[in-house]
Amino acid sequence: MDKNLKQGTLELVLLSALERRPMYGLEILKAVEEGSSGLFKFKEGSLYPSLHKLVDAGCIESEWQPSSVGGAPRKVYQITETGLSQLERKKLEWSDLRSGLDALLGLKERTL
Amino acid sequence: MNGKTRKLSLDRYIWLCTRGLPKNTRLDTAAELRVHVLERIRMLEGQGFPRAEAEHVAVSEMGLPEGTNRAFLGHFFTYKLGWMVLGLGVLGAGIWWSKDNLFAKTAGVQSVPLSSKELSAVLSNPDLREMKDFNAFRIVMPENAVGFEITLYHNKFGDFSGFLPAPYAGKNYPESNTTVPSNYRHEFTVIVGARANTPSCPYGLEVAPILLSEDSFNKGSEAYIPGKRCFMPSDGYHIGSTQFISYSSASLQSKLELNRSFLAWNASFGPKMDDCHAVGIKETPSCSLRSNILEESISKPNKHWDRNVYLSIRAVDEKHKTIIEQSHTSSKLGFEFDKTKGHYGAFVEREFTMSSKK
Repeated sequence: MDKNLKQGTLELVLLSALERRPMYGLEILKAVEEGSSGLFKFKEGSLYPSLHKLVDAGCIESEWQPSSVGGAPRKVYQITETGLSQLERKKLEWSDLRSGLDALLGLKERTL
Repeated sequence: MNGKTRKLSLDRYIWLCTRGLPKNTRLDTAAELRVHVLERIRMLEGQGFPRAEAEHVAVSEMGLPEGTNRAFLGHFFTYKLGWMVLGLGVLGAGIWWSKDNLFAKTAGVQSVPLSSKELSAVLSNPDLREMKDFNAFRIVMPENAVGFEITLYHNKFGDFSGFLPAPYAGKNYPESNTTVPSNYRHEFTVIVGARANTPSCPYGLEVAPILLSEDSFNKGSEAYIPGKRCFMPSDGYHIGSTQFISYSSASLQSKLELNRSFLAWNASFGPKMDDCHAVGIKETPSCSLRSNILEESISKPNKHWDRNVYLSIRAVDEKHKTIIEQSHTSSKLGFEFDKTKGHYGAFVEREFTMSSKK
């Protein structure tokens, strides 16, 4: 998948992953990778700056929590009300974009 | 992993990712990254990787730390590239600013060789063709100078002085609307020509200061000719200024066919008193008449002989106060007794000695 296209949808992807449940970084990576059937596989280091931006925007919040399996505590991210609203708006945007692109590319007819 | 991966320890990776962040954010982010990578190392070790290999793989999978650091900072100024660009920008701006504001030429007067261009400009004037020996002085005006004054004097009596304002010092050049940079210093070349025993000045020394101006704000070479001055030896008498052959600005402009308006040379005249005899010099109409006085004076006992002609160049401020002054003493430009002819004659050599005071 194109890097720029992936970057443009990263916020939607992360919010979507955290909509299901609070998760820490590595969990989010696994969830996204499995949820997208391996389509979204990115450098692990790039995850955290994106998460921090979402925290700054108030879409998610973070909290250090003890590890459930023992070991070092983990920073767990949880979606906020603002994040949920943002996610809904982005889903609609994506839906509109996909419909428009499908129509433009002639994919809609083929799938019907 | 791709070709861009390099060997980085976990600590180095975390340091590169988090540098430049505020302290609290840096510590929090470092802890989060460390937990992530340590967990990945444990997973890899569980798959049979030795610790060192597991750390290398885990760190490599994190991606390049510079990009992550840039994303954390949220701006371009990461240490390596951003600061370099910022530094180059500041350096470039500094150089650009200093071009017009620093490194101004040092004000003063320097004896300089006469260029062939200047010599041809001088010799193209019919009034100056008879002059033979020229000395050139380059004048760099001080910052707050409004003009400069040239004085030619004989035995320290100011027989002739002329004032020329600095036309564009600190102001906009009027004809091109160009802003003059603050480090701009107006420059002139003053050329002093001299010749002994000319028809118009027998037994005397005719001296003519000539001003040439050519620089980036005053294009072209122009000659301002205040006139010629005949210096003669005398016994206690100093030759008055009436011998000074002056040109009005209009006639000079016409002579030189100057299209541009130019600055008139304001010469000051007046009879001088002789210190030795306290005799006032009467106005004399011509050099030849004074030569009669000279012939008469030769027969008298010599009490005081003028031997030197001085050139003084002063830069002055708004109140006409001297900012810088340089005197040029023509120790080899003067008069000496010709024993074979039985009277004093003038002689000219090229060298001037220079002294200056501020």
